[in-house]
Amino acid sequence: MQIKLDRFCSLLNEAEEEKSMDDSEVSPYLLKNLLYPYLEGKDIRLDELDYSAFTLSDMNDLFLFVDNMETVCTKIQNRAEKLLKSIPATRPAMKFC
Amino acid sequence: MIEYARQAFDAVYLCKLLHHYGKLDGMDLDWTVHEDLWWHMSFEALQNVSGACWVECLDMENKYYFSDPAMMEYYRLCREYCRNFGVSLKRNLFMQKAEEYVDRLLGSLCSYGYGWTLHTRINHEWASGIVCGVEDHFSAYMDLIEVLLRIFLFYETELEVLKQALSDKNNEKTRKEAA
Repeated sequence: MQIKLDRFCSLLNEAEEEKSMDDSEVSPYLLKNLLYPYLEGKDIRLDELDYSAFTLSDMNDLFLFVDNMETVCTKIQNRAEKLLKSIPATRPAMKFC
Repeated sequence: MIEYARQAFDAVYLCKLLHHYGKLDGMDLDWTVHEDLWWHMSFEALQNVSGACWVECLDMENKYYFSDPAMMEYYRLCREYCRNFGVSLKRNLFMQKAEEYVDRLLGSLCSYGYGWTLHTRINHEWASGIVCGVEDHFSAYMDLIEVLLRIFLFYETELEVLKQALSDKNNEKTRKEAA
């Protein structure tokens, strides 16, 4: 695999920023008080959650979202590993002597 | 972190489940969410699904006995229904309905290694109940908890229907006697 870094950087620069996953279907309460703090490594206490602020169906939606998120993360990780394993190509250099 | 999230959130799901059925108060919530918490809490949750629970821990199996005041009252009134309506316990529609419901729900769990027996006696305080044997390789604890919550809610709801049927019968009897 060969990557032209200058082309890669200009494509990244041109790309529009967008969310990698749509979280609009997930309960905002669960995103704000459970999922995102958990992913940031914060402690979430069971007795501090408001169990009236979400439903069992919201929990099922969250599980689906987490499953999809895990799939996306695995794909990104696989690509990153592929990149890391590739051997850097040397540019031809002019001989001076 | 994401790979542990699903398992960690099972504990939150369990709490929400108990909250939904009004049984969260008896649970110890002094915990931080983590991936092993669910297993720790499932044992305590099983003891909270009904008004009374006994556990016998054997070598390869745990045996639970679940009973509840609403269930006891239900089976006591089933006997009264038999007397008032002149039917046998076996032909009592309320007895049949409850047995079918318990069997259908407990039979629907997607796991091997469990069994149950429904007791409908009323000869002592907790004589009516469900004996549930769960072997080590049983894997549907969350479903079992949910099913038991639904079963004990069924007894609470159907108790009111049974009371109404008995009350209607008594009113009818009084009217006939007055006439």
